[in-house]
Amino acid sequence: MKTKRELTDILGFVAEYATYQLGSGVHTSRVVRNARRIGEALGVDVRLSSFQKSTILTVLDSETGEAETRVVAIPALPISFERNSDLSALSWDALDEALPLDEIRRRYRALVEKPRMDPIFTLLVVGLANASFCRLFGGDWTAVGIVFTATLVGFAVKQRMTAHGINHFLVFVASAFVASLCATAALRFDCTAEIALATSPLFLVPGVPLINGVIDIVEGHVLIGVSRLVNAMLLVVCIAVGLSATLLMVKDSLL
Amino acid sequence: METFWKTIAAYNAATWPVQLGLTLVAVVLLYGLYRRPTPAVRVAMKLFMAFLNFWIAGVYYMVYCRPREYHGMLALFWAIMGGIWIYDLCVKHASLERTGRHNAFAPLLLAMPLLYPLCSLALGREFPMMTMPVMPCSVAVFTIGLMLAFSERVNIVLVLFLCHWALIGLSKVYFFGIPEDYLLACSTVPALYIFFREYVRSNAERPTKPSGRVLDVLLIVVCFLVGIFFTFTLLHQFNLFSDI
Amino acid sequence: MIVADILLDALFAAVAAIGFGAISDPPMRAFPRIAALAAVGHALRFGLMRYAEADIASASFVAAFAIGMGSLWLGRGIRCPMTVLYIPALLPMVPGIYAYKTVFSLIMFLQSLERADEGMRFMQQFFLNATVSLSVIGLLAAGATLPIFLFNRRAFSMTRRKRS
Repeated sequence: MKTKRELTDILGFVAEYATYQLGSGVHTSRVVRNARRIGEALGVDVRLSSFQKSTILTVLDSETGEAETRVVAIPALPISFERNSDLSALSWDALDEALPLDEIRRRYRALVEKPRMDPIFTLLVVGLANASFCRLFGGDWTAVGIVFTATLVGFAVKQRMTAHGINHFLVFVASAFVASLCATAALRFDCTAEIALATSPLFLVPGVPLINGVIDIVEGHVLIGVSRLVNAMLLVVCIAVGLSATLLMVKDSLL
Repeated sequence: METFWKTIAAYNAATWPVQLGLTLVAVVLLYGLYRRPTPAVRVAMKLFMAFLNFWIAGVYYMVYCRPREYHGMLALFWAIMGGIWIYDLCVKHASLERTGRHNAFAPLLLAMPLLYPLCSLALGREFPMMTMPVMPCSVAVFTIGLMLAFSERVNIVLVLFLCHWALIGLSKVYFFGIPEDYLLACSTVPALYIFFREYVRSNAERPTKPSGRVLDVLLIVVCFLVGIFFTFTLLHQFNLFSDI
Repeated sequence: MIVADILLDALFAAVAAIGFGAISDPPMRAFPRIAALAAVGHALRFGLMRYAEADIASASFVAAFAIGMGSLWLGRGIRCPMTVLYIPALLPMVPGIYAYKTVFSLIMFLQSLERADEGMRFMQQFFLNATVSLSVIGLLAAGATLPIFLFNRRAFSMTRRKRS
């Protein structure tokens, strides 16, 4: 038995909890399960359906039959697997330990406040990763070195532009262009220049939305799955545009 | 190889008075930054750096290095760097705010453009077929020195652009045999290390993910890898010499 | 020599997975397992393609399935959902060269509209490369997701503290 006020409170928290996960790259069915689990722990029934930009959710008190519904916008957050794991674990803890709402909220705040991956750390490991990616495709050591620094430049451009709040499509075009432009340095040397050029913008590939889109579609959340895929494909197109700008300049030496 | 030195000779023969003038301007501005770093001096320095980068792009690459392959790409590269300086100026980025640290290493880098010609002379080259103060590599080294000496918050994109340039310079040693570029490469790696270590230190109080120690280790690993790359080129260079 | 090739391939795949994984901010405790999964998966694909003459699409599918099963097995110990482990582990298998050639042949096709037979050649290359990239990416995602359907009770309680 919940008072109207308690119900609104629960709805407010579940709305924040669910949209936070949808915003940070958790696939839909997991969000639905997590949100329902939190509801179960608090003794209410939670139903939600989600689109790309907003979520509709209803909290139902099955004893009184009282229900409340809200439409909530999904915030645009950076992808975070750490929050994905932590918030899923929180829903299980809430259920298994029968936590009250205040405690769940306190833990949620603590988890959301955790530091994100350090940008310089990310920058360096992404450089190393793309360099070894180049090696996986059969590039020689000169190409590997050039891809390493080209990736550092491209990724730094992406980080700075994102930090300055520039539209993410433009960010993708610009970083793909800069990374591949730097990689054209390989053309002047006797090395596997084409592989260097091909690998340099690959750190941008939006792997998480692509795979989440596929998971959503096969799990029956077709609408949001398709919109995630469309978004991911647009980003891929942006990478292609940035890369083509470079290729148009050097195409004759690649034939 | 042949074209490479010919274009450099043509450039030097035609522009040495301008190069001299630019060097003087740089010295005056540096003196201003050390003595009385007023906002006006900082703006002037940023404008000067932007001009220098556009000069390399427009005059060095687009006019004198036309015979070289891919001069357009290189010009674009330097033009982008000039653009970054302009951007830096427009958003009032905190670069060129004197920090008072790194005094030992930075002046060496700032003096490097003058060491370049000396190095060339020592290697037995003659004017105009030699390296001079206003050439891509010397400008790159000068920029790195400027950032080490005066930057409160380093413009990381610019630093990495230069780092990319330096590592290409390294491979240029490997393929074309221009040992002067070691100066640039030698100075970039420690500079990069200092920039990143500064960053790690500045975050020491806050909780970070991963911890500061992991970052330090990663930094050392990266510098070590670059070092290995560097040593291999060096060994190759010695082979080149012994072949001659 | 075969062993050395495969081990090197695994090593580079592991580094690539760690780096690409770092972009999506996984928990630090997940890194060793991400690296292990990527190494096994990519080495498996490399082995299948090099020594069993499998084509890239089916080899990718098998490798992705192995990664998916591995993430089901390894995720429980560190309370991470499967996707946290397998998405970064799949990234080193993205068919980058095919994707690049797709873009390149499209550009070249647009440059050679006047010369019909040359244009046809580039169009053919475009379709070839686009088909390969799309089907490999699709099969990678499908292969890794399959274990979720096969073992969905376990897959849905990966982050639970209490063993059910």
